[in-house]
Amino acid sequence: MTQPQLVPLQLVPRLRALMDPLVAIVAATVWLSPPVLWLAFEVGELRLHAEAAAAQLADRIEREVDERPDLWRYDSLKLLQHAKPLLSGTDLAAVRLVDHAGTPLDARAAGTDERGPLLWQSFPVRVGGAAPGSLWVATSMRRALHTALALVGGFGVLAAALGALLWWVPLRMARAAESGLRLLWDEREASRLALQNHNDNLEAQVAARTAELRAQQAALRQLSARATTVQAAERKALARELHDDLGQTLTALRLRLQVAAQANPTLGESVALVDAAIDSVRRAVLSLAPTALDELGLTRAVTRLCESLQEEHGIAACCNGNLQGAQPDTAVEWAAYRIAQEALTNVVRHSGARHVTVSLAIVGDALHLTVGDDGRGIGSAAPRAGRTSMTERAALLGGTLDVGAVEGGGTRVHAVLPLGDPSTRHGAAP
Amino acid sequence: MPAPNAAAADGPRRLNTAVALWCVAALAFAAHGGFLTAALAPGWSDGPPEVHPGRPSRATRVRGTLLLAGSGSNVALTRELVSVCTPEGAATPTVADSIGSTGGVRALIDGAIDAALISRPLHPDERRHGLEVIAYARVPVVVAAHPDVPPVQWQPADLVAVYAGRHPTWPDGQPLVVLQREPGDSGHLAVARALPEFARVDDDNAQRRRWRTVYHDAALLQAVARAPGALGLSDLATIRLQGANVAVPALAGQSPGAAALAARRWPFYKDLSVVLAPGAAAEVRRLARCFRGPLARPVLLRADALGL
Repeated sequence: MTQPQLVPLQLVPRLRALMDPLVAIVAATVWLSPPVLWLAFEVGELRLHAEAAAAQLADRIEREVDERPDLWRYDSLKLLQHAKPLLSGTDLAAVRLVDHAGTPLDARAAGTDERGPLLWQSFPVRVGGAAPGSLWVATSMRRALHTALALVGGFGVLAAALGALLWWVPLRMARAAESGLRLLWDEREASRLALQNHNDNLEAQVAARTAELRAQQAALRQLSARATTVQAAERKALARELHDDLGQTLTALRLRLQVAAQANPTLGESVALVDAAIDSVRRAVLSLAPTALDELGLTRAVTRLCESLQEEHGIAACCNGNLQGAQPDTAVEWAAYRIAQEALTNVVRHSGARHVTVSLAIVGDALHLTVGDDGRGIGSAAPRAGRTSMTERAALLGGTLDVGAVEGGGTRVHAVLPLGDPSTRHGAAP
Repeated sequence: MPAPNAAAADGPRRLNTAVALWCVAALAFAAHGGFLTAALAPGWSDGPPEVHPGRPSRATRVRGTLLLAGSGSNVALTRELVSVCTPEGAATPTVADSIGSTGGVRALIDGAIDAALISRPLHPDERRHGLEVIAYARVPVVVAAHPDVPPVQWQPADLVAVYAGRHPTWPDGQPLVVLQREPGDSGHLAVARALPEFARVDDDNAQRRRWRTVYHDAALLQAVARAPGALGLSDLATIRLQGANVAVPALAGQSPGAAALAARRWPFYKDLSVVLAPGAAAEVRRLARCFRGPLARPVLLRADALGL
């Protein structure tokens, strides 16, 4: 298993990189917005008050100017004193009167105590369509600024507390999460290592068991091959006994009955019975031990089967064999021969085929036998006894057998029979 | 703490996000500053932008007839004096409406008028201009009351009590409405000169703005005549010459007048003067001398003022 390449997670630094500006935004909003908005609205309110006061004062001054068109400016001290009641108890800090040229009417101005930063606004003094002067009104920003600064301080504390909370809680949770992740990661690593150890042990056990099983399978296969070989030898011996003893005896019996039948024609039936017995013995001998296999070898024996098929049943059979000089075990040859024999018997009995192809080949360490026909195919019918017998023969040697339909019609039987350990081949020739 | 390498690919994206957030934060701060600047910037300055520092504004003198201006206490009497002192066939000098003693002196210094009329002594900063003061009349400073107020037998201390608010009603029960002049008024100064306690009360009243303040003699007499129960300080000459519809209560059993002043039985008075600039025109000097001459006696007598 490929391990992922690992880098530091660093949850807290990553979160801080995002939280710092976010906290700054929240702090700026909470800290500055209320004082700024309050100050803006307060300044607007002060301007309105200043406008109202200035309008009232300008009206009174206009009356004074109207009474003294030339010398009104020398009464400016009194004129400006009119402004004092307006300044009292308000944020108006100063009132100045200037003539049309912008020259102050008096060095002194009403409300001389300049209270902090001032906002100035001017209003013309109009008399008879002319503007002989203008009135300047200053609004003190001291109280508004003090209040705004107090709000800045108060909301600054609030913003700092809120910002600290916003900053601290997620980071604390991130630290906790990182610790938890670290623990989980450690546990995962420990689990992974433990699992890997278990896996290694299991694989070792499986490998050992597999090797053991393979050895047992090999031994079993060897045993099966030997049993098959022994069985074949037994069958050959039995066939030889039948052929040599029973066959010779029956042959001698037939000759005597044939001689006796010449004298007594009623014995003709006995001769026929003996002939039938002789045929039965011969078939039994052939069944027990096909002599062609011993006499001709596997390829030729199978070829003989094909020839017999064509001769006896009129089915065109083509046999191809290329064992590349290999000499399979007797058990393998027996199994291949019997499987080919059973497959051709099935062709005759069930397929209705007109052509049959049989091939033998050595592929790797196995003998491949293929029997194909152009018959009606196997369909979905349940396996018959013949197929089961073929499968068991192949399995007994550790091989496999597949029976299936051929595209376009027909049946294909394919058997793969392991050649086995070369050292054990022909260990028990029949 | 190790993590899968896939997380490392998030590095540039995470950096971009952080930079974007910092930009938003900077914009938030800048927005607050911009909003505040937009709200405060209009009119935020150290003074009226149109004011030209330097010498105060002055009127343009239109040469022609003589022009006299100054304290409202002088106006009525001076107009009468001018009318008797102007030679037959000559243009009658003009006596402007009140611009106050201070305004009159300043106008004289600026050359906007030919003579200033004052009802108080010159201030030290006024004297350094070399002005010439010619006093021509002493007028009683009296209590002017609404004509419908009941007769009272007040002592000078009662005047202090009235201005201190300790006499809220007239003897008939109607409310007593005090009208006061602005600080520095010559009438109030005259009473304060005679009654130090009145000076303290007057200062206190000015600071506390206890009473309604009127800024001209004529306006005070008009207000007293119209407001039931009202009283204020004025001068007897103006009352006499203008025929103001006000009552003048006696104090300590003494009625004010030129005789009482001459006998020193009336303690409150102020001197009316003409102020001339250095190098004043001869006709102005002649006019000022006339104010002190025999032609002025009948006028002063009619005004119940004492000639000086």
